[in-house]
Amino acid sequence: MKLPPELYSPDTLSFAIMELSHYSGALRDYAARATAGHAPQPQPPEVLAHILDILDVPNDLEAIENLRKNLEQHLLKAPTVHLILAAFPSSAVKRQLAQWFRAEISNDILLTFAVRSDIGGGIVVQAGSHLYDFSFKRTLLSNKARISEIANV
Amino acid sequence: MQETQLTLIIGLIVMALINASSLVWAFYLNQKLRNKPVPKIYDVHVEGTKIFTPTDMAAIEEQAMVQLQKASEQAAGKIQASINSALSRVADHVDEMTTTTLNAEFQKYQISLQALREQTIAEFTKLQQELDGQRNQLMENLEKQVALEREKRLAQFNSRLNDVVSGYIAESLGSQVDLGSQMVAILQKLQEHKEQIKKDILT
Repeated sequence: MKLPPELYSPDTLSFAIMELSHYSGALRDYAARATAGHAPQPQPPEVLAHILDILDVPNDLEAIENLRKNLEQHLLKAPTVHLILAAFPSSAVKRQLAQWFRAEISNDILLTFAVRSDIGGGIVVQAGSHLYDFSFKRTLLSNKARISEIANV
Repeated sequence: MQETQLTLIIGLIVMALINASSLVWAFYLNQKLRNKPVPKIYDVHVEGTKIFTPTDMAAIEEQAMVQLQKASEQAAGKIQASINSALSRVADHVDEMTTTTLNAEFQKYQISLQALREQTIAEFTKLQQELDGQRNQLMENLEKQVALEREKRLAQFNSRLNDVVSGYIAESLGSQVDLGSQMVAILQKLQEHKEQIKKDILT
């Protein structure tokens, strides 16, 4: 199962799992009360509906439960990469990075984001036990001879 | 008390008798001595001028002078010979001293001096080598210390430069970071190191 870019991090995945649990509970209640004919059919929240639509999952209890279990498995087994940026990323930036990592590295990879303003710009990637520093700060420190030139600008 | 007096009286009488006998004996000896014959002493005086005639005296004097002169010459000759002999012996001895003994001593002195000089040179050479060794070791230690200190200072400088650059970036850029405009560069960097990242994540 290919995860949509909206489910890019362990937190968003956990949130989706929680929403699926609530929704599957609501569907179960509805199924139990449907025989009495009182309760209206529950609808999934907008975000969940969007996810169900992207994943092409039908709106029934069994499918919802299967999706929840798959996502729980995914949360346990998927690799995670930690990204550090100079400012908090927008949704577009998160989407772009998630798409790149899932296209180039692994289709089930999850991302976490942190902010450190002292890096100035660029990105720092923590993958496994290695740290890949592509920040502006590292670039400046690698070219110390040019620091004075930059400071004079 | 009467016995004591008696004893004293007897003692006085004995002493008187002894003194009297001594006097008598001395008188007797005196008389005997007076009666002994005494030898007579005669003074004889010879006037020499009245024994020999003036001519004999002159001849005797002349002969005495000749003999005296002869004896003097003989004595002088013997003294001269003795002095010459002593002088020659002294000269020989001095020659022997200078040529043999002194030369030998000078040679010994020169040998000792040479040995001392060689020993001194050897000692100084050894000392010089030890000093050179110590100096080299000190220089090596100093170079190591300088290198260590240099590395330490460089590390401190780099650490501080790190802080300075971080502070400069934080102050100059502040909240003006635009991630959207950086995405092209970010994705390019990620693409360049894709394989390494993939290997680290998936292994």
